[in-house]
Amino acid sequence: MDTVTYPETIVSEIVDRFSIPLQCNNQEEEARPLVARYHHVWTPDLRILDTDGSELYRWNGYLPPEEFAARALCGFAHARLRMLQYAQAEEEYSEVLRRFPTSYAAPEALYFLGVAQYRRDPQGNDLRKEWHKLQGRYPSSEWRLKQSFIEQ
Amino acid sequence: MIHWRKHLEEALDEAGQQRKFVLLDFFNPG
Repeated sequence: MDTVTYPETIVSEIVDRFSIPLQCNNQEEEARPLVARYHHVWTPDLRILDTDGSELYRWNGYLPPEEFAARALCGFAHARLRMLQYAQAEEEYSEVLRRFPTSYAAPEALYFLGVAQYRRDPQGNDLRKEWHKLQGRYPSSEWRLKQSFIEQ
Repeated sequence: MIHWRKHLEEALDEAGQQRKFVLLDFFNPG
């Protein structure tokens, strides 16, 4: 990650725009409290934290630059959603779909774009509209399956 | 270039001041 993914501007721009980055070497003695607090078991292990230290999103495993950028942006959008910042979540999910439409994170972004729109305006029809797009654009994704009850 | 912080409390304080989140990356240098 330090040699391939993190040096790329497409990654650092997103990381710096939304977060204060913190690295923890899991081999160091002084890392033990953080390892225990966040139940860390395997690297790479990324967490998005609120300012009180509570975890809002996580993912494991190496990702190349474009996939990392898409996943991080999707994660920051989800953090916004969980903080009830619906309009900002919509903006960031939309950015995932505009910039990284073929990424592994894109189906999740489309699923939760509908959720953010619904939470902002429960009277609107945006949830079904976005989920209908999910059926067409990402038919084999897990996120399509997660909304498949409306296809019955 | 990402400027990684090393201490959680420092990162949380800075995130609060800048209205950002903290991105925590556990890594193994080996």
